[in-house]
Amino acid sequence: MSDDKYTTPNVNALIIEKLNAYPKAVRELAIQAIKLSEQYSEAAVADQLQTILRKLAK
Amino acid sequence: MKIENFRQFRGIQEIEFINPSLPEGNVTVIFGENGRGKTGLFRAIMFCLFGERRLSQDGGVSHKEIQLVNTSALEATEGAPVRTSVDLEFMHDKKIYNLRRAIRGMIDAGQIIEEEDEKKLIVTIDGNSKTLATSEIDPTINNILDRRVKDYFLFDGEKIERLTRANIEQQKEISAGIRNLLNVDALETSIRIIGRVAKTIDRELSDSSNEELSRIMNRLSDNEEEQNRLQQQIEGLANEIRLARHEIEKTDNELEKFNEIRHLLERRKSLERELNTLEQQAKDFLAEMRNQVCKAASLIVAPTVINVFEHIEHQKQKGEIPSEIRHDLIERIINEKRCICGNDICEGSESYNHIMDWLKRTKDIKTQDVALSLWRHLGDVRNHFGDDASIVERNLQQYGNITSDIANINRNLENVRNQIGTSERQDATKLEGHRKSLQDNIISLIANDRRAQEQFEQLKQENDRLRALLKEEKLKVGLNDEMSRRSILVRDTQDALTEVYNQFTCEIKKLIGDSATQIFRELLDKEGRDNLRTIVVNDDYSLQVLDRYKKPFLANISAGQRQIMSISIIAALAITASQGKKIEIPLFMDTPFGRLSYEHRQHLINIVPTFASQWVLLATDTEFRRQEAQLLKNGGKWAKFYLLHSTGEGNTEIRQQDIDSAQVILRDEEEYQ
Repeated sequence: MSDDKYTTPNVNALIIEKLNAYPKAVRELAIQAIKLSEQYSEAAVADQLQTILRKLAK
Repeated sequence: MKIENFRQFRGIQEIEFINPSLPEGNVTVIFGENGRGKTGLFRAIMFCLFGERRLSQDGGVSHKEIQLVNTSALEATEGAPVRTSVDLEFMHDKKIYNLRRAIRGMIDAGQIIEEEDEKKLIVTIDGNSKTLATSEIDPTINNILDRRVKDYFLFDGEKIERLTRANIEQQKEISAGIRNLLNVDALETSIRIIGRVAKTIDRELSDSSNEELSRIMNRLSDNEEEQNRLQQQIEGLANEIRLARHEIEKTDNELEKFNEIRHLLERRKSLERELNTLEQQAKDFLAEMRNQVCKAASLIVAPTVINVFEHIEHQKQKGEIPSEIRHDLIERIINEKRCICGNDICEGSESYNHIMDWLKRTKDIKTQDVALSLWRHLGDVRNHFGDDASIVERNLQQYGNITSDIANINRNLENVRNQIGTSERQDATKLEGHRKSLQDNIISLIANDRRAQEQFEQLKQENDRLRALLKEEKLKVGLNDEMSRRSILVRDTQDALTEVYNQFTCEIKKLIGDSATQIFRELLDKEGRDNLRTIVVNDDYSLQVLDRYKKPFLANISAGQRQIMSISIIAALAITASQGKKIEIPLFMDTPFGRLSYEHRQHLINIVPTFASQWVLLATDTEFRRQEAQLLKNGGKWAKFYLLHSTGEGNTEIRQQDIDSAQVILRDEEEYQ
């Protein structure tokens, strides 16, 4: 049996790849939302996203 | 691995998983009776790697209740602390890792207290060793193997059993497995937070802007709340249906104790299976007929199409389309009152009247072209009517036959149920009554579920429409309005994340299904392979097996085939957890042979070593016998053989055995009968 017989793609890269199909501002906000959600509380993330939104919406 | 005073293992004991004189050997058999510590060895590895005490099989037992320090060692030291440690040496990505984790246990006021003692990791690359800082140890290990997926490398009998039954436990296991693999917590959280931010901005926008905008936003907000309520209702109904079905299964088991009605129960089971198959066929037919609505619709206008076609055809035959004489030429002749031959034409003369007739019958060029084009097109359409009519008629007939068969089976079922219900045993009658009310309840729940799903779908469509309207209104308010732009951007991002999440979970379910199918078909015997084709992970995370006709067949597979199916799914999850590469971390299988026939065991023994870098088989005497040992030996991958030997006082000694001694130590199948 060859090593790559059961190959499945890297699951983590799929999310970023899919977000590439969206406009730049949407992609940026989405990626920031995911990254911040891994580290901070929901309330803190919501506040930070508001700041990022203001910058992107200008 | 070296363990010291860990669980049943008193003193310092070692296990080596590789045999230097058999470099391709990757199978280790650890043989012992129940309670000797087979799973304890997997627990030791997880403790060393992650500091984890609990395994998924511990269920609701808390972390603190899992004692790691060996009890008799504690008693022997009369209260002095006892060191418990696990040393693990492993290779990953051409580096050698030496990891140690230790705790200190002691008895204090009759309680056993365990405290962290040591954590150390040395990494060696090309002969150069480096001791990592304590803070770097956990991130380094997590990079090698995410702790969330560690449980997928232990296949225990309970996990295998959980996946064999189509019930809520199966769906939870698959759902939890996929969610852990996807690491979707952050994605789900971000969708939730973005939704909150969107609502906050819309509220601000609504307070500050025009009436129409406010009206749409309020309506959208109400609809979204209603959608959430419906979603919860749908989940609740699904759960109730599952529980009712489970209750029916239990009732059926009770009814089987009544010998006198066993034949009726068998008959009912057979009829219900047949009914399920027919109802699925009817559903598939309806779906097929929906796809052919266009064909059926075109047949309604067939008479009109044929009439128009024949009318134009007739005009063609009469030379009127295209006309033999051009319309504009005839007009010219009449205006100039002169024929093309040069003769004058007087108004009211016979020639003049002929020419006027031609004028009436002919059309201008443009109209003629349109008529000809229509004639050609209608000719094509008309050619299909015959086939379309046959297809529609055939489908309607077949659907009619199926519904008639369903009606017959329902009548037979009713008869059988009545007979069971009126049997002389009152307790059987009572059980049958209970079963009937459960089934009636399920029918009612399914109807409620269908209604709720329809309402949900309608709300979804309305919300899509409202969102589009909202976006238009926001744009009308002005692109210069920063709040509008923020509102649009955050909603677009929410939609994007939701779409990505849905696509992603769909794709990973398919990946796992495909991977599981590959393994499944290799593990099955020939008959199984001929009939069973695919494993599918459904939208609701339940499993299904499709037969060679691509029809659902899970309800009909044997217990052994179910076990093979669940092993395939767990293996697929483990492979996906290893991100598609060969599974590096040793795959521990705890008594996997269970209900498997000899051929299935053979396949398992041959195939697992090919997709796992190491296979550690934890086996008891009832399922690992001389036959299995011979199969392993024949495969040429069996590297190590250990016996877990009881030394009394709840302690176990790990004794390495020569593989050839397996034929002496193990027993034949006949010796158990």
